[in-house]
Amino acid sequence: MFYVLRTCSRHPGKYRGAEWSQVWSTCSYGGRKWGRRGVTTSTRTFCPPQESQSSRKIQQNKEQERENQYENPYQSKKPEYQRDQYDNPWQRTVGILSNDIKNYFAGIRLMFRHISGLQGDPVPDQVPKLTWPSHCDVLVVGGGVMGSSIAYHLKERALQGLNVVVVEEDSCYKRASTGLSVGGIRQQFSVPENIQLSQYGVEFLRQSPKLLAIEGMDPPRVQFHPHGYLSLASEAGLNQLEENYKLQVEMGAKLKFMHAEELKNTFPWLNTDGIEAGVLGLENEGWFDPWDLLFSLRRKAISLGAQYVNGKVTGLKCKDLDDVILEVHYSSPIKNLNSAEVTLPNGEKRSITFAVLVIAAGAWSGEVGHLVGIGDGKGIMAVPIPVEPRKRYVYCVHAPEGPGLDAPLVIDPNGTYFRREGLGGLYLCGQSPEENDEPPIDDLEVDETFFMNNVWPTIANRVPSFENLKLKTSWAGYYDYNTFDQNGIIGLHPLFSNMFIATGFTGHGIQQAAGVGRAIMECILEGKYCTINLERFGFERILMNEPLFEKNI
Amino acid sequence: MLKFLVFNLVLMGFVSNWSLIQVGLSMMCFMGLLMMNHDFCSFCLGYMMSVDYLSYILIVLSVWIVMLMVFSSTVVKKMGNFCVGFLSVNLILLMVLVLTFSSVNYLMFYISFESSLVPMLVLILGWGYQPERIQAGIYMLFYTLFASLPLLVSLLSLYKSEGSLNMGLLLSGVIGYQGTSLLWYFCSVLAFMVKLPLFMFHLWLPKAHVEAPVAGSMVLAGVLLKLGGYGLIRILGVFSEVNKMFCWVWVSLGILGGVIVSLMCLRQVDMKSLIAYSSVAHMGLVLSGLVVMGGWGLNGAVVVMVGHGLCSSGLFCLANMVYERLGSRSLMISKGLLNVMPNMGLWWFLLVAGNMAAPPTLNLMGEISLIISVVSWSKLIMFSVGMLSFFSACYTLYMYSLSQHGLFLNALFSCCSGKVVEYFVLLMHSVPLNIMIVKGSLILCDL
Repeated sequence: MFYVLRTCSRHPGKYRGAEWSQVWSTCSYGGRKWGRRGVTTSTRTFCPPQESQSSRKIQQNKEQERENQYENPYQSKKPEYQRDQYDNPWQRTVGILSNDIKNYFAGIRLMFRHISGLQGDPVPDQVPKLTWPSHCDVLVVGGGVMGSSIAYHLKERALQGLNVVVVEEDSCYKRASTGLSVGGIRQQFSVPENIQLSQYGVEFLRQSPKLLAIEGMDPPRVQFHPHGYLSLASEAGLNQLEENYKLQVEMGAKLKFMHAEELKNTFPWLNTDGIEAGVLGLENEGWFDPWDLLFSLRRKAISLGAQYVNGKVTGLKCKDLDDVILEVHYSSPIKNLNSAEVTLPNGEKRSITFAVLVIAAGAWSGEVGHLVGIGDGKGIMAVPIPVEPRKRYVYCVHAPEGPGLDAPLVIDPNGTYFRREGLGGLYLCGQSPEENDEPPIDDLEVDETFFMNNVWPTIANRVPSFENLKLKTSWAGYYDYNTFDQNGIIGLHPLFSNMFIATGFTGHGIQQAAGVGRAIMECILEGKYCTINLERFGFERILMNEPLFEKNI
Repeated sequence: MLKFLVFNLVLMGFVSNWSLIQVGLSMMCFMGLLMMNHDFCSFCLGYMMSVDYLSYILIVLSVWIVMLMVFSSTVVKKMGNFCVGFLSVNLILLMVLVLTFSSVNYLMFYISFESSLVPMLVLILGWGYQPERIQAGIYMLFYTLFASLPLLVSLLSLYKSEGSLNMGLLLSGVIGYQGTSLLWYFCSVLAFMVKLPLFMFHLWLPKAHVEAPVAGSMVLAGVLLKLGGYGLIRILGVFSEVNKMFCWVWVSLGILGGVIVSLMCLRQVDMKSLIAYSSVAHMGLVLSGLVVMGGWGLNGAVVVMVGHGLCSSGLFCLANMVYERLGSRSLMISKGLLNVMPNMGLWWFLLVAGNMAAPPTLNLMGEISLIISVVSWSKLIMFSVGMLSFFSACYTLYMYSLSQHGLFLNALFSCCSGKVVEYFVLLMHSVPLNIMIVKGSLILCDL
């Protein structure tokens, strides 16, 4: 009874839209449903770039753009957690009760403010602090597109049944690979599971306005441009291209195999010297806005009840099993992780206990593995998570006489790629450097000489109208580079029974995020892969030294 | 009853020694059970306290549950989480409970009834998992507190009109069934309805249970809900005329509320909240049986109270054992447990059978008596009572099957299948539950 009255009287004044999923449960397992009284809105937990259009991304420097959004001082305040982690139970009781009362009155004051229409910012002191999630069911380390996709899929299936917490070090995602990626999605892989993951990825993108919509807020606009990928092959790579093409067609991809003549006819701007054939993706390939995907996933996960914590995981503790001895192989004991130590931006250290851990930390997953000693021990523990950050440059150029609207994302035989960006004659291009020529990873500074020496000659050779381009801007981002076989590592670690790994995608993480998120959700909730079988991507392949290489042209 | 209280006070002096408290509480149980051969009149009279068959069995239940609480809170001991404070809170709670059940004076009953909230609150908020999240503090405290203030007013006016608040001397009761008597009746009865809890006032219960530590849940489900039932039994005698007019309110809310809450149980994903909602359904039936003022109802209510106390408390122990091993209470993660903890499957099944009133548990006898009493009051209610029983079997089997059968979480390699202390606690829950039906006259009232 009280519940119904309270729900109706929650927003007497302005309608602010629902910040929670439309599915209610009377007994809110993890939710703070009772209130707007004193509970922060989901918009305060991140600094969203409201319009994340690609053109703006390129025209302005990214740092500056984020500075502009701190106009509202209310939003710039980092979330503070209640200092109620008293150890002493008596203090804790008194603390909780007094906080309850304070929050109650603060909430009432907030409500009156809205009724009377005051627009002033509430005094920060009166704004109640967030509750630290000291217990959760699933802890996801890393809040990029992979972590957010996992959180979204888990919460979407489990709703109130699972308490999901995502720990993200940087809520502005300055160094995260997601925002700095070019945003392409293709089905032209040689590993069948990769093709399936991308196919689901495109389906997800197409459905995203419906799946990731939140009432009262703008729907997601991932701006999927279905212009396809064009993989070009020289004579040396022709056989591999044909093999890959056959596999992709078998898996259901709609592609067109074109010889040099046909290529020249279809794309007059293309210089087919040295090119024997190319495969063009006709459907389900193209590029999209990764920022929007990330923030839509994150926003939707938060609205479904996941909690994002701004902090860095600096420690992981195992459960002390005093009643069982678990050994696998060469006395490698099986451990069960149960608590993580998170360091907040203000230096405070707090802990979260969990039942299942998912490492989706992207380029820094190797470091997270080292926190529990993966890579520092003997036997199975000697094998680290082989993921490290590798810097890749993306250059934005202006070529007034460039290819035009029908240009797909073209991949040269030596790995250089370019794609059209927007409608103003801008193009994004890049190239993966040689193994022994890797740029240093300590910062995200761009080396323009790489463009001059490596990228420009190739694309100018491939597309003659790129001769007179101008380099407008550039940025650098990290690949979560899997040094073993450059494909994702998905699944449980053999020795840590409740640690899932979902990382190492080496440049194609953004397209596989949706599929991997769903796969991890199936692993956790149903114990096996139901839709796409990703067993071959498990950590075991690293132990058994069975690499799963992409057979590139 | 002074022997219990003095023993308790002496034990409080030794709280720094965990095993001594365990042994001491077991001795207190034994001491209590020695008096089982009473003759259903008031006994142990003295110092404003006395005990009759109802108080006696509930006192035994309280001491039993508190003893089992201490045995099942080994995590508190292992983590060294303020053991001294924990044990002293438990012992204070026990003292207050014994006082409540053995008081002869309505006012003393009321004061101890309210005082049981304080150690309960400290137990839940101090040692709970994450009580900050739910704002359960306000809920639990103020629900019960505000609902019982009218009771205080009604007791004071009773004193003024009758001249005494002694339970034995108020048998003539409040005459009349309109106006003041009506208000009087509702004021007195509301507190117990919230405590029981009745369907519309039950929102505090799942919140309190989910965040409480195992000891808190056990005593909440095991004993504190029975305070409501006990208080009702004592107070309904005074207001029998008004009650006859309004028992349909309570019966409807109880039975239909029980059906609704049983349906909600089928939607729960947190083990503890499922058991909490099932308590609401059981207590709804108890309430209905009580207010129809029949002998069958009274007996049934007492038997179900005792049986439910043991059964729910045992289920909370089991849920906590799962939580200790898996780190999560969610039924989406802690499932397929028969694969990893087959021994616990036995205890799960025995206690689950108790929850759905399957033979030969005590709950069967109680539920049969309650069904008889409620149906004798109105035949039409047979449908709802039937649905209540049916759905209670539904959600209980759902909980058992979901947590035990099927694929288990692949993020769990193995865990201990049961320590001796856990077996002991569960044994002490299921044995009385299954054995007492053989000599039901231990609990049934000899009217």
